[in-house]
Amino acid sequence: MTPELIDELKTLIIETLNLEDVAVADIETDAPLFNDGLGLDSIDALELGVALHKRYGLTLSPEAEETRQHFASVRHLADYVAASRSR
Amino acid sequence: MASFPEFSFRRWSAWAAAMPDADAWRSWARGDAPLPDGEEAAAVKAMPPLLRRRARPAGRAALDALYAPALAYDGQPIIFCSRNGELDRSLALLQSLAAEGQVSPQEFSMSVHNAIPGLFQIAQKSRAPVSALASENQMAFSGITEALAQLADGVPSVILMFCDAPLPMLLRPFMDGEPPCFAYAVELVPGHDCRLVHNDSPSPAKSVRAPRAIAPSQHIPSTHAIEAAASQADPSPLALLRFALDETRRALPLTDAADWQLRRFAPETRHA
Repeated sequence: MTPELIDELKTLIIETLNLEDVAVADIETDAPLFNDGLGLDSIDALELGVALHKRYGLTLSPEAEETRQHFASVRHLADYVAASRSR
Repeated sequence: MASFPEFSFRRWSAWAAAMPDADAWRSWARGDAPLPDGEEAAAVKAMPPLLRRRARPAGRAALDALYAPALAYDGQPIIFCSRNGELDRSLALLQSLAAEGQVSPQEFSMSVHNAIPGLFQIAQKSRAPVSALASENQMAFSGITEALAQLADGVPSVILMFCDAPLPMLLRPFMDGEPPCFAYAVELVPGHDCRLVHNDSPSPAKSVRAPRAIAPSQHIPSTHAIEAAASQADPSPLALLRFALDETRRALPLTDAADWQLRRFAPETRHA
């Protein structure tokens, strides 16, 4: 896992979810993505799932407990992408 | 015949790129010029960005009108009227389905006609009823009918709103002179300023159908007169806004045939 991947994921989140007025530097690497942190919702989770599939070939199960953990923060997501990506 | 309740227009708000303030709208309403063009999208600064990001230009215009301080929205039922809604979104969804076999969950979640007023109600944490209407060229008539039905049902105030944006490029051949992106909201309350009336025996000058619907007859006006009268009958949502804002306007045809009309009572003849 590299700082480049962290920034790449932040950019992906901003572009995929049309986060207006949010810059890469505004997203805290360890802050929660959903609810209290960045404030994303369940539709965003689905949207991110589609984007991660397209970009990295990952398939996330909406029901699995691991998915919840992967989405806990950008750092968790980066760990998961680095370990499991197929492209 | 049962009649619709008399009503008054109360508060209003409107958004279009080239219309800076209420005075600009009022002076536009007094004239007959089309709405000026403009490219800019509505800012909707009052809406939390996380919700605002989900709206396209037509929806943003509508949200701007709903959030406008002049409307002072206070939980009334909303009647949301739009001919095309956010058709650019629907088109993008279909294109992505054709090209990739999947659609964006975020875009799909917004691809219903009541999504924009729904987004507003989520932001307001309001449970007020929302009706979403779509119609071709009698949009204003449909909206007024629904609003008056709700007033007749005892609602003390209702927000009637209209919004539309030019069609996406691929669908432009189907355009027939749509205005630039606009939205407005008017509050209707029980009152004694206006009434919806039906002309049971309309005079030819007031009730003229489109030329193709006229059968040859010695009783009908000349083709020239028909075209002139038909072109004056503008049942569009923007004509309704002109009527609402300009109190010197006394009648507004709401159908191409002009058999249904809004009438404004002269001050001295008002019942109350």
